[in-house]
Amino acid sequence: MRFDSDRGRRGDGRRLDMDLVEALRAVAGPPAATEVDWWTLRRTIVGDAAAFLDVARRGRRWWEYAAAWIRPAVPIGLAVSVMAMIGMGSVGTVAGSTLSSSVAVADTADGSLWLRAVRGGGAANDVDPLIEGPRTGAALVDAALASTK
Amino acid sequence: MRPLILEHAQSPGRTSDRLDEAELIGRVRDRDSQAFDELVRRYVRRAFAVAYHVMQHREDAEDLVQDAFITVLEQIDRYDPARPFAPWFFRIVVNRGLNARKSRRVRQTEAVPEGTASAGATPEILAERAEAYARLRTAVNALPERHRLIVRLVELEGFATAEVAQMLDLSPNTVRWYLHEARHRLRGVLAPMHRGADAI
Repeated sequence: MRFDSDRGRRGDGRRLDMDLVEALRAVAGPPAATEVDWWTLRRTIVGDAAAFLDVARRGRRWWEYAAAWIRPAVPIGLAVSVMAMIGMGSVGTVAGSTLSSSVAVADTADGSLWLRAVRGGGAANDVDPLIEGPRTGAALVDAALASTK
Repeated sequence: MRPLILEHAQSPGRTSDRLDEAELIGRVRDRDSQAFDELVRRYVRRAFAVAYHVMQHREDAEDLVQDAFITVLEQIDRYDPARPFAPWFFRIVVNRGLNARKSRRVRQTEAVPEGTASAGATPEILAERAEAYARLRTAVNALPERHRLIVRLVELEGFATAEVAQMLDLSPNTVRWYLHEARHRLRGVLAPMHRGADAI
């Protein structure tokens, strides 16, 4: 739509007579164009707008990038955090179950030796095999034979 | 960067101007200060006229025009380039002006100079004219704000009712109705003056 004076007049009704319009302009019209310092007004407007306009000339500063990214970054960060928490929760559950089963195996297999050693009820050499780590196959066979004797 | 084509907004209907305007707005969107300066040059006078009719005070109108142009920069990303710029911009001017009037006391309505004394006018004619203008001012000020604004924008600034409707976010029929009422009231109040216009 054009904002000029001639278009769209149809259907606007009967206008006021010209002399009344002139009288209306005299008592309610804006100041004459010559009474306004347009150049100063323009300079003031453009000066006020400088903070918005000098981006293209000087390039963006880091805080302007930060400010531009802060709005999308907040929900994205929140979503990533939630997903990370969910992910960590599921990994923790798996790891926890693995850990507890390992502990259970240890309890059944060697836990008694450890407990006895800690409580002072067992000989130090009972724990040695656990500290030293797994032995070779031959050593394990020897140990088994010795225990049956 | 291509130089700006400095077409004046007084002839905004030509296709080339519309294209130039689209390019101009695109560059303003890119924060091009030269383009913004050109945009201000094109629209500052009409913006001031609209602002004056809202604020009824010259300095308030200047403040409003400044505020409206800054708002353009702040909200330019919301502007639909497929639509003409002027209605969108003048709507900003009117809305911010009306909000300013609601939110604070604006400066008292400025007394507008009532024309210069005609050469050869006798003191009697000048006195009659002053009386007629005073009656007219009273009649205009007695109009509700919306009626007053509409009649000023249509009768004094030459806006079509459809354009004013866009500015005020009203339907064109509603604006026509307000305009009809305002004209009716003014004609009624000013009929004695109009009949005696020859004497003025």
